[in-house]
Amino acid sequence: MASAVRQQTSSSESVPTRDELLIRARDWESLLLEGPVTYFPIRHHSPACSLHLERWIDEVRPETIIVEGPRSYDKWIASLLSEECAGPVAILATYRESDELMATRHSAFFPLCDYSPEWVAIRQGKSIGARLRFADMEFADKVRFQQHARAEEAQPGTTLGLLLGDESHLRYSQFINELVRRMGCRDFDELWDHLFESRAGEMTTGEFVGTLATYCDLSRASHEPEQLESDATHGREAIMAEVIQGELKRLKGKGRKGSILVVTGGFHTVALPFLVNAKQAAIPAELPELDPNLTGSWLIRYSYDQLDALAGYRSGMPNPGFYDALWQAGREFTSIAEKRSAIARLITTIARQTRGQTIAHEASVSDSIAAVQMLQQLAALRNHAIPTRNDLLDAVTSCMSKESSAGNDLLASIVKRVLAGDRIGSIPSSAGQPPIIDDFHRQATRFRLPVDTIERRKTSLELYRKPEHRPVSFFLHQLELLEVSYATCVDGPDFINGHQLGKLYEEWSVGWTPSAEARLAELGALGETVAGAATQRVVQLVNLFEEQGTSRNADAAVDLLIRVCRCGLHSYARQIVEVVREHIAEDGTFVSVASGLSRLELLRNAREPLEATRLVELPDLITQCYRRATHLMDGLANVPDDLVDGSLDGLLSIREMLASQNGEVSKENDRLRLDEDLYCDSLERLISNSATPARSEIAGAAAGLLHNLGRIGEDRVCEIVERCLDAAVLEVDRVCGVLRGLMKVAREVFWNMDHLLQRIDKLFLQWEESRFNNALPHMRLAFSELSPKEVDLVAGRVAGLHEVDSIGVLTHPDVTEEEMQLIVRATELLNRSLEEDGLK
Amino acid sequence: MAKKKIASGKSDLASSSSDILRSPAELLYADELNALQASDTFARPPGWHLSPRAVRTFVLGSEAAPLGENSPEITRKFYGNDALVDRSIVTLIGNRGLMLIGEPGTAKSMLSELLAAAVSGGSELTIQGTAGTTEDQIKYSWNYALLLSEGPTRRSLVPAPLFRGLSEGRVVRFEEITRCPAEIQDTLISVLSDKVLHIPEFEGADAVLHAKPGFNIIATANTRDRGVHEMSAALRRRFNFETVTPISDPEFELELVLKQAGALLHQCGAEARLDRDVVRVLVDAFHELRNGRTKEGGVVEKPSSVLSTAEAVSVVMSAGIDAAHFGDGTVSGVHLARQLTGAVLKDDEGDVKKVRQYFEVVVKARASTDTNWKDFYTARDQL
Repeated sequence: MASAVRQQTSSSESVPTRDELLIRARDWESLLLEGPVTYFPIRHHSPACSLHLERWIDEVRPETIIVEGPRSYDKWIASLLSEECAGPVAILATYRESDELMATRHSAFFPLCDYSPEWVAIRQGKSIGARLRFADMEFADKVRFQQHARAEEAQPGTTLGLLLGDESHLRYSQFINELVRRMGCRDFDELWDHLFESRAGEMTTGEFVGTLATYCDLSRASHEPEQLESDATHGREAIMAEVIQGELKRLKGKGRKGSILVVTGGFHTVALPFLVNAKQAAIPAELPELDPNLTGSWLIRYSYDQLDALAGYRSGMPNPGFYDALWQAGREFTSIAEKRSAIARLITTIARQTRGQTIAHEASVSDSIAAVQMLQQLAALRNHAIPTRNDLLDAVTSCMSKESSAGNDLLASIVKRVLAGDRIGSIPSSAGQPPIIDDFHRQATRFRLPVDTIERRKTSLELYRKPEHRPVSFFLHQLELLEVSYATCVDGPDFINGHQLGKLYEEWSVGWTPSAEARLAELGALGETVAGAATQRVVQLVNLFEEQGTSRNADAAVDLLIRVCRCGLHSYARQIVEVVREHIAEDGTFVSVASGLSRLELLRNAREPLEATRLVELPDLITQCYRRATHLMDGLANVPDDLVDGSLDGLLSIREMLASQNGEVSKENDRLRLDEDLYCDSLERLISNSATPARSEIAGAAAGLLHNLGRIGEDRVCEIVERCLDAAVLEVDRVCGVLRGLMKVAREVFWNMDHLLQRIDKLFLQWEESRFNNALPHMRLAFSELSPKEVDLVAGRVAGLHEVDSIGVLTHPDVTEEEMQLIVRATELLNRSLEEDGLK
Repeated sequence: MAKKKIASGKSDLASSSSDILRSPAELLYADELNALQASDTFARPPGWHLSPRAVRTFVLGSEAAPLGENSPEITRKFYGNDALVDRSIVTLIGNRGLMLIGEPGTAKSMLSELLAAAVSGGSELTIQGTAGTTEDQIKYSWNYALLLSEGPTRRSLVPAPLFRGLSEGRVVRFEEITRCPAEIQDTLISVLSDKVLHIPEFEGADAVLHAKPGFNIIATANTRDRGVHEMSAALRRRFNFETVTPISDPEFELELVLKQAGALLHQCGAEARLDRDVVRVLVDAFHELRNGRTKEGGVVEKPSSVLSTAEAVSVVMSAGIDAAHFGDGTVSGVHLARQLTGAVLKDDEGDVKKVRQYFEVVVKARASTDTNWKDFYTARDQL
């Protein structure tokens, strides 16, 4: 059976034996470290690499240090060396494909934490006075190169938040997979910790470099050259080699051993010596000249939780808080005891955090003791001088979870949070941030909003009572409009959709995140201030919806106007007002104009929170919109079926507006004066004898509204209803519509006008049975406007017409209390079971 | 002493292995245990027969760390989760018991047997938890004839596994602990926390039995029966919990099924030929039904009955016996499908429907391109 296992894993033949590995490691050691150029392989964010690198720089004292990273990042070296600069930070690279506002954008982070080998090399290099350089392809070029190479494939659109220093080559290779399996590890990260992090102190730097290079080399062998060509790996390495060659020339042959130190990801390290020593340097593909305005790079603050979120899938090591604790505990290989206790401290932190949570099992002190004990024994069993991340995870799993593994999500999330760490970096003020970030900081500090903690906080704003809260609300709405993940409105009036307008407060959940800052840096292209960027964004939105064919839509334009007011961009609103004006003038549908009108009115009424009084054009705009709406009412005679409901709503909302205008007691000059006659004349035209609307709903509604406004009498209403009901139209729904329209706007006529009921009754009696039956469903729809009590009322009156005293038992008062209780309970049970099945 | 024990075990094996229907781990792997003990240079926790590293090698095999030139290769006996084995070994060194939980048939008992055999040199101190387990069966009982004539003396006391484990400093296994009533389970609390057993019938120093180093408990519980949450919190906190999950890699599982079914068939004298590709059909089917997903990503209804590796082994074994005695000795898909009925589909109508649906949708589609799946499909009527 054992032979079967071997057969099955024949792919493993590519893995050399232990002795062969040792020989190869020695070969690599001398190849990489003996010459004037030393090539130091690293894994991004590996403390073990950093420790060896630090030591190497101290010993060999290179004159020049070259670090993997786009060449233009040389300008950030001074900032990275500043005292004020503390990890984690990231260099954000942005690239727009064109100068247009809606251009495809790309961005990438180059994260650095205190223990990142790249940063350690820069800092240590500075302390010995070495020349420091970056060497890699520019981000924009990498994007363009990959697009060029993969021209025939589907192009990914916007790519935001990629990582520079991608290690997927190392992570996903056949060799690594086989090694992971053989060593009984769960994944590449465990393998890495097992081979390098836990034993860094047991190896000389030479052995460390040799071993790491050997693994990288074997891993590289399982990648196809075509793949490395098309993903720009070769192109990037050519640039690195070019920089190294340039530095070699500077030495003019006077270099000693280790004059130049090259710090790159191990995957590249094993290729570089051959490229540098080759007679003819590889030349990366020619790319067209790039407008420097389209690219940018910024040094920004970063956080461990963000690093953690991106780690594991492409780059870097998971649980940065763990490695940070190790790094902070001591920079010597001998500080094993300190590191052990740092890890033990992580365990007690996890245990503390389980307490007071709704977790199945709160970890006691004895659990912590057991876990620390287990940690040490596991490390001993696995031959780890310093316990690894997985040792810690195993110890916590074993000693603190008391359920089957499914029930441990909360514990897992606590562990993840503790091991992610909560450190947030800082950058020197001289590094200069995009001005928009400065503006953000200035405003957030002024409003006493958090700018350096990722804990989310609740902020409540009193929109009506406290005028000083309004700018805060505007600011947060601007950020929301800009899709900056800083603040979320959890509760409050929604003026855009017209919900919860009675709320006096706005509740926000606010929390700074590095990605918010990154997003702001990206938005720097839109403007220098948050408000400026928000305005630009509105302009983008306007352009966008004109392109998308939502043009000439008054409602959508008003939507934009409200949005702008919510963001407090009143000074910029003038442009939007013009846009709205245009849209109102050109919009040909009554429904959207009417809806726009009612929302303009909403905006006007919500003076405090939206500070609509600052919008002097508003009354004028409302008047224009009203006129346009009344003008468009003529078209309602032939409104298409799907717009009937919207039209009825529109008619009713204008009626309500007129009513409230008359009842308004505000200051005379502020008062809106809409000409009621315009509305009534249009309605009159709709019911005029010569133009009976095709949809009788509109006629019914018009009659009801006019009666309501006191413009027509009972007879006229009856006449219109009769005319519609008696029409020689085959479709009964068109006939019954008149009742529906009437009930929608003025249902009281059905019990106030005896005459009306009589005439309808008479008409129905003349109908054939089948026609009446066909009409029933439409009638039911019409009557759904009435409440049960009103239906009862109307039914009683109709019965009276036929001299029937009783219309039968509609209610059953003889239900006993027990029966009632039973029904209530049954309903409850049914509801609950529906809810449980997710059917509610 | 330990050496002697294993050596004597070996001689037992030589003389009587053919008389034993199923040899315990310490007999089955006596050679490996001896080799490990001979080459073991690492420190052993008090009372242990092997160092933790050697225990690990015993369970996980010596592929990663071969013993040496003349030593036999140590086979891998537990697949799927190496870290779990590490944690389990470390737990046994400490002062908490080890609780293995998981679906039935995920080799919890096997792991506990292997660990007990490696740590204490024997796995026979086993308490089988049932609804009728009494304290007598766990701690000790009396030889009533002697009790009447001599009173409560050490001679009249009949030690049960827990008593022996404490007095000899060995690992005690408690199988299916959650099947016992909670009050019986709680017998373990004082033993696990103070490491003593009180014998009130004795007087003086004898009334307290102190555990010797090396004593610990490995309990197993399956999640299908009454869950662990019915266990008292007091007892729960004295155990470290490890969840054993079904093997996630179908290739591993296939390997395991072939190996175990082959050994079992050999043991019962049925020489049947097991073709890897034929058995793969069954393992794949089990895998897909268990996970509710096909290889292609389609959704399958999960049957409620247990579809563990152990069940797969039992199906293959029955199919082998069928083929050896009633066929030409070659196991085909037909044999496998036929055995599904008794081994997997117990008395649940719904399960039969689900499996039949699986045959109609998934198996049928594959039957057109693959003869092994076709054979499997042809026997669907016998479900």
